Amino acid sequence: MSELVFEQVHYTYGSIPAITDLSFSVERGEFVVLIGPSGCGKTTTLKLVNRLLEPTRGRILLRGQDLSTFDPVALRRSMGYVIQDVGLFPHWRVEDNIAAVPRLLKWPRERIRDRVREMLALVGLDPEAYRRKFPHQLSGGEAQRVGIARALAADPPLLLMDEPFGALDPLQRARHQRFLRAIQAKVRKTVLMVTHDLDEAILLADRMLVMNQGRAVQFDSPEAILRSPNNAFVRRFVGTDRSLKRLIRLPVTCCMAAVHPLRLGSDSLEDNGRVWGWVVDEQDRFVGWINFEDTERERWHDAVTPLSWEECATPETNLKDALSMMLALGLKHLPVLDDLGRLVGELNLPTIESLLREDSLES
Amino acid sequence: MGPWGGMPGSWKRATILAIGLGLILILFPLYRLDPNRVVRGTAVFFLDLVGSWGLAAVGFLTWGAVLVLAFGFAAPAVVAVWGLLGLWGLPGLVGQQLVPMGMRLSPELGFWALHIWLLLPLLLDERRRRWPLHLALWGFVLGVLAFQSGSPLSIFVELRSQQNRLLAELVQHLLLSGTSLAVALLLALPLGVAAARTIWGGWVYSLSGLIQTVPTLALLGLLMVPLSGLARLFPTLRAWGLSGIGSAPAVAALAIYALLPLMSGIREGLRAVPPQVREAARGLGLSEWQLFWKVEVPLSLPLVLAGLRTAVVQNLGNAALAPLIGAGGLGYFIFQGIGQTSADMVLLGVLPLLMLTLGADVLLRLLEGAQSERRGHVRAGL
Ligand SMILES: Nc1ncnc2c1ncn2[C@@H]1O[C@H](COP(=O)(O)OP(=O)(O)O)[C@@H](O)[C@H]1O
Ligand SMILES: [Mg+2]
Repeated sequence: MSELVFEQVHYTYGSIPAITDLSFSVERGEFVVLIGPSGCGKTTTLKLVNRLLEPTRGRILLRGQDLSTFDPVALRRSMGYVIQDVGLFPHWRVEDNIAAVPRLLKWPRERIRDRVREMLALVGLDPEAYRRKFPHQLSGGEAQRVGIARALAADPPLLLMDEPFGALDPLQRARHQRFLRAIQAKVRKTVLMVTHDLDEAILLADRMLVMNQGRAVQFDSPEAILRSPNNAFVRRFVGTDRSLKRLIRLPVTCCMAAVHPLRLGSDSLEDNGRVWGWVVDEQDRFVGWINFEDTERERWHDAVTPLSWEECATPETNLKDALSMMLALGLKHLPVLDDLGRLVGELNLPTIESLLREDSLES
Repeated sequence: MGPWGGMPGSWKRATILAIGLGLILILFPLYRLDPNRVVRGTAVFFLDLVGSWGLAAVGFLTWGAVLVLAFGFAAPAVVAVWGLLGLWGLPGLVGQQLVPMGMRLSPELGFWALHIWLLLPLLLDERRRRWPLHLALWGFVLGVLAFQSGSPLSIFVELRSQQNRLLAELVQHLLLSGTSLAVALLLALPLGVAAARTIWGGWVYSLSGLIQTVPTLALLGLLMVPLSGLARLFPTLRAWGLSGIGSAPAVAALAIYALLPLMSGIREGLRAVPPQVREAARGLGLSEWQLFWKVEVPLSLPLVLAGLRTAVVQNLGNAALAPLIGAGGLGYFIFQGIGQTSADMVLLGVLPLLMLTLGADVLLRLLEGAQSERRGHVRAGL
C-alpha cells in the first residue's frame, strides 16, 4: 500500500487555481522532491498533505485511508513539517522549540529531554551549547537545522519539508544536503521535500515530481527525467547540461580505478611503463604525485609534488563535482581519499568522458 | 579651545548647574510671607533666609555640596533630591519659630524656577536613563511627607485643613479609575482580539478611534443625556445610583476613552505575531486554542502591556475632569482652587495626581521590562 496517494486533486485560492488535477503516489520510505518554477503550487501541495488546506476537488489517501477522516490536529502531530520560513517560536528556547510536538503528545519529561539532545546531536549542533539559546541567537543555517530537528522530534513516519535550505549560501547548502542524506540513511522516513534547486533535487530524490502551473508534468527518478524529459517544459527546465547533471547521481566509487602508489621510504623507483605515479607515506596516507621523467632514481623523494586535501575527491564526492575539480585544477587524474586520508583509488577523465558519451547516445 | 578648557563634560554641567542655582537664589524671591489665605504679603529672598534661618540653611547647603562631590557621577540627581528636600522641607524644619502663628509661606517665582533648574538636567539626560528622575521625585515625595507636620508652607497649611477631604477624593479618584479600567479591560480583551481578526472588530476599532477625537469634556456631557434618560425610565437603576450626573457617567466616559489604547495594544500585538510562526504552530499540530494561548498571547504581550500603560496613565489624568459632572476625585481641588484663585488648593489636587500617574507608569514599565527579560529577547523593530 502506498504511503500517500493524490487522486485528481484540485485546489483553488478563491477563484485562482493553484493545483489542477494532481495525481501521484509516494511509497513508504521514499524521498520525493517536488520541483518547479516559483508559484507552480509546491507549497500548496505540501499544505494539502497536512490539511492546512483542504482539496477543492479530488481526494488524498494516507496509508489507504481518506485524509479527511483524520482529526487534522492529530494528523499534523504525526507528520514532521519544516516550513519555508523556518518559523521557530521566538519566545521559546531551542530546546522548547524542539520539544513542541513531544509535549503536545504528552511524552514523559525525561524522554522529551533525552529526545531534544538526541535531535540536536543528529542535526550536528552541540546540545549543551545550543539547548538554552533563543532563536534570535542562531545563524540562518542553525535556525534551519533546529527547524528540521523540531520536525523530526516526535519521530513522525512522514516528513514534509518546504525549501528547508532556502536561506543558505551554496556552501552551507551543500553541507546541509550531505547531512540530510546522512540523516535519511540513519532514520528512514517517507519524505516530501520542496525545492527550486535542480541539483539539490537530483542529489536527494528517489523520485522527482516536476510541476508547472499547478500540474504534475513528470514524476520519475532523476536519472529517468534527465535521460528522457517527457516534454518541452521539462527539457527546458532541466537545461542543456542534463547529461552533466546526471553525474550528480553517481559517486566517484562507481568508476574509480585501482592504484599502485609508491610508498615513501620503502619503495624504490622502478620502470613500470608509466611516466608518473601517486605517492603515499608509510601509513598509506596520500602525499602527492611524482613525474618519473628527468627524476634521479636515488633522490626521487625530493621530486614529489604534494597535493592538498582540497585537491582530492572522497568516495562520497559525486562525479559532477569531481569533474569540475579536474577541469579547474587541470588534472586528468583525481586521487580519491578516505576519511583517514588514505589513497583508495583514482578517477580518470577519459572514463567520465565515455560515460557522458554513452548518455548522449541514449537520448 | 573654549572657556572650559579641558574640563570633563560632567564637571562643565555641574558648574553651569551651580552658577544657575546661585543666580536664581539671589535674584528671585523663594517664598512669600502671607498673613492669611487671601492677603498677599512680602517676598522672602534666599539672602533674607541666610540672615534669619542662618545656620540651618548654610549647614544644609554645605552638606549638599559634600554630597555632590561624593556622588560626582550622579551629581544632578543628588542635587535635585537635595534641593527639592530643602525647598519643601526647610520651612517645616526650622520655619515654625520664625513664621508668626497663623501666617503662611507661599511658593514664589524662585521656588518654581529652582524646580525647573534642578529637574532639567535629569529630563535632558543624554543616556535617556530614567532612574535619576525617579530618585529625585521619590526623594521629594518622602521629604514632603516627612516634613509636612507643622510646616508653615502654604500648601501644607492647606493640606492640614483639608486632610480628610483629600483622602476621600483620592479614594474616589482611584475608584473611578479602577472601575472604568476594569470595565474597559473586560470589553477590550474580546474586542481587541476581534479587531485583529474580524471585519466587524475592525469597525469597532475605527469607531473607538473616532470617539477618541471627541473631547473628554464633551463626552461627559453627551453621556449625561442617555444615562439620565435611563434612570428616569427605570427607577430601580436610579436606586442603584445610576443617573445623568455622578459616578456612572464618569465611569462610562472614562471606560470608553480607555478602550482605544487597550484595543489597539491587543490588536497591534496580535498583528505583530509573524505569520510564519503562526503557520508553523498550526503545521506542527497546535490547536487553535493552544496557538492563541501558547504563541499569540505571549508574543503580543509586550504591545498589550504598552497599551495598558497608555490607558492607565491617560485614564488617571482624564478622571480629573470627573468633578465637572459631580463625580468627585482629585480634580475637585483643581476646580475649587481655580474658582478661588488659590494655587495651593490646585496643587493639592495636582501633586497627588502626578504621583499616581508617575507611580503607575513606573510599575507598568517594570512589568514590561520583566516580561521582555523573561522572554530573553529584544523585540526587533517594534
Ligand atoms: N494565500 C494565498 N492566496 C491566494 N493565492 C495564493 C495563496 N498562496 C499561494 N497562492 C498562489 O497559488 C499559487 C501557488 O503557490 P505556492 O504553492 O505557494 O507556489 P510555490 O510554493 O510553488 O512557489 C501561486 O500562484 C500563488 O500566487
Ligand atoms: Mg513555496
